[in-house]
Amino acid sequence: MKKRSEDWSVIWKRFKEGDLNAFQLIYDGFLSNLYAYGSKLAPGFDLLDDCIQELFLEIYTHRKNLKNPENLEFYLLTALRRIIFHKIKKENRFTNLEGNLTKAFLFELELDNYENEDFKEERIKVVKNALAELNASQREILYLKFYNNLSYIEIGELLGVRPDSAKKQVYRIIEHLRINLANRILNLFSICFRP
Amino acid sequence: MDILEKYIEDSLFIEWVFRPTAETDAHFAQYMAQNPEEKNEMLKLRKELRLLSFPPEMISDERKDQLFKTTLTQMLKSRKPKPTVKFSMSILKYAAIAVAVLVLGTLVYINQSRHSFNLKLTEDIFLKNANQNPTLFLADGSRHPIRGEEVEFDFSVPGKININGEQINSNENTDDETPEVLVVPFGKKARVKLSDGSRIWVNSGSRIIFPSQFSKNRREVYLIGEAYFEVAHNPKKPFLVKTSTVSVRVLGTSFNVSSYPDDDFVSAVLKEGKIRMEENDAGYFDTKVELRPNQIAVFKKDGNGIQVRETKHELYTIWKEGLLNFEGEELNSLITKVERFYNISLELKNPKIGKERITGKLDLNAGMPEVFEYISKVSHAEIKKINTVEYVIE
Repeated sequence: MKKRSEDWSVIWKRFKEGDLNAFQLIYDGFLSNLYAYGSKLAPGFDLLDDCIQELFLEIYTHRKNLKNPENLEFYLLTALRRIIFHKIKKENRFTNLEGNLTKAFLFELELDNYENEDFKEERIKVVKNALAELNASQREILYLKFYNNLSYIEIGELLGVRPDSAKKQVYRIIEHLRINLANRILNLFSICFRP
Repeated sequence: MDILEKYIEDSLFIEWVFRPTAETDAHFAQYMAQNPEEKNEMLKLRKELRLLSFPPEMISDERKDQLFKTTLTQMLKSRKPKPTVKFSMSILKYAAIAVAVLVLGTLVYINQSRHSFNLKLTEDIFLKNANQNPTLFLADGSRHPIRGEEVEFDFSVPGKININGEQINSNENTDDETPEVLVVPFGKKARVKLSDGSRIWVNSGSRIIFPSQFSKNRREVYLIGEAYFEVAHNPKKPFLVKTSTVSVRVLGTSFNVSSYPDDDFVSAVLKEGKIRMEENDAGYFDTKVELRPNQIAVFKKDGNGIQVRETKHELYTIWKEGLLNFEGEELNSLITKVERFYNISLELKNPKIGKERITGKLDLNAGMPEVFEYISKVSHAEIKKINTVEYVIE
């Protein structure tokens, strides 16, 4: 069951008072999403566990001074992103690997075989091509929109882009997909595709 | 863009596409039935969007638990132990134990509103703190150990506490959020009469936490161990028995709750009336069951929710009379109850025997020699004394 934001604000309040049970609820409620996001953001980054631990330690240590976020998931994602960023930067300083930073933020998206349907292969090809044309930040916008259900304002704040530009990106990708999908099937069968 | 936007900016629609649940399925099935002209477009868009399903990197439950433990350990290490329990200074000694226990995840949280308890404690603190005699820890900080096998504590007259017929005055100048705590060690039992007239029989090795006066709209007590309740009827003020894992909600009735920390279950048996058992702060699942008389609800601490089955309530309430009644229960369970009653340790040399199921009655008031004779009869083994509190069955 997904908790509503009102529920989270009550739990957050209890957490700020030092209630460890509330801490556990927050941990259980968001860990999977944080982990999924972190591993997309920096694929193959072996310090993700450390970063997540640091995130929870940080909010616990400073809990008394933390604000009451409207969207706790967004709040935690933002903090995790910052921690991962810092950690990679720090690692790079020691190992002196140039260019690793941009590499780390690949935001790779692999496709899932969601439904077993007709022309699956054809469709996946279209989506793969479309995703390949996107840059990491565009892929991240897509992910945050569909997987974390964040608002454009939140996405904009997180990635440092304008909200309306984040929104435009989402629609551009979907339109692109729709047109290509339709063309692909059209080419195959010379009939207009309608499910 | 307009048609697309209508759906894509609908967060429920997005949930339905990527994380469908029975609720969203039902919601959109109904919506499409009412708006058939939109159906094709919606289904098509869903199909297309689902092509964008990226398999989430899943964290294994094991890794999740491990990470939680290390995080919690770090958190508590960096924290100065603070007195979070107000009512008894002696508990502070166990701050270190509390940290260890918290790490194990045995968290107990008691609902905090203006008039309910605001305590964070662990069951084990109390176990280690058990005295030789039943002891009442009052909200004013005073301690009252009372000699006797079956002590009655009467709180039914406001401001006055009657213990075995003797009256003590409680300090009125106390924080009304701090409850009274009654600790009944192994080998002893006690009775409590609450301010609303409800009565509690507290079994050996149990603690009960309750306010001397209930708040305006509810009655809450907290139980660690086992107790039998006769709740005064008052539909306007539900009576709630809380344990570390589940709560039992009552209107007015008689029932038994067993929630020993070292048992792997919590159970409630109903004699009369109607009660409801529900998981505390379940998070993902909200399990609730209602009991009819002569039913038992068992909550397994390792998961699987709450199971209900028919029983005879006497099987679970007769301990009040010092009697044990068994119907196809494991010998292990009998041994545990005898250990609690006499506050002794009974070690079974051959653990296989412990799995054997037994049926019968046992009067613990008859005294230890007779009870031992019974146990050796059903276990086909001899009981040897090591010292006054340790015995071996072999």
